[in-house]
Amino acid sequence: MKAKLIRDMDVSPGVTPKEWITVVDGKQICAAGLVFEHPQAYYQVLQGNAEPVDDECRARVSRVRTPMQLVEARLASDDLVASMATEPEEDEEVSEEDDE
Amino acid sequence: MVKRIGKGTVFKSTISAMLTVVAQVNSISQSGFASQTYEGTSLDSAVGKEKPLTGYSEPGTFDIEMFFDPSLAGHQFYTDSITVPVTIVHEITYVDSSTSTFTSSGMDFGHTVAMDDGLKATVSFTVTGLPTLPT
Repeated sequence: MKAKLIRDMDVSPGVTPKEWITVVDGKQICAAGLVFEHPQAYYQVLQGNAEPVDDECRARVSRVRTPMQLVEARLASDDLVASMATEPEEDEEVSEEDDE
Repeated sequence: MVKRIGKGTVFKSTISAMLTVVAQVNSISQSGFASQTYEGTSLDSAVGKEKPLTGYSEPGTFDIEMFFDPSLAGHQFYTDSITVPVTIVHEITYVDSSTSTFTSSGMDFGHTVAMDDGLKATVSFTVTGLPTLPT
């Protein structure tokens, strides 16, 4: 079944097919817009990371989700990505004096 | 020397051949990663028992605990991966962007309902091969 990514995804080393990979700023990604075929493609749709491209994927997704639930999944995924993009707190420096 | 925080650590599993963030994880732990020895003591050994190396290492397990949402695709993927067993590549991205990666073969899944807590699940991944650690 086929789906189309709506956000960039990370490459799984040794698993992601080479033809799915794009290099951006030296980092390998599966770029938004990629149409990919995989037996588990519907998971990315359910997860809010992709949209169905063929009837097989649409049918698999519609068996378990309503259109509203898919919108909710996409919004939840947006929130998750936004929270990961937040700058991490600065590491707490430990001086040598504290070690003693 | 720095003390790194756990907040912001991300757990990802390979779903449809892409590393996919699994939401609502609240702890990640590794155990059992050890170089393997055998009992090499014999009747004519000295006092100290001998534990020679076998030359193998036990990859151990990675365990996660998460607030379980049965309607979340990432969580469904885990339960589906027990009914249809598969090996899965996982990655942990720490807050300093360093990573650990491992491949799981087996998986144990359980969930808990408790009066004073949210619905939680624990997943224990049996690692096959050696994990890659950030050290």
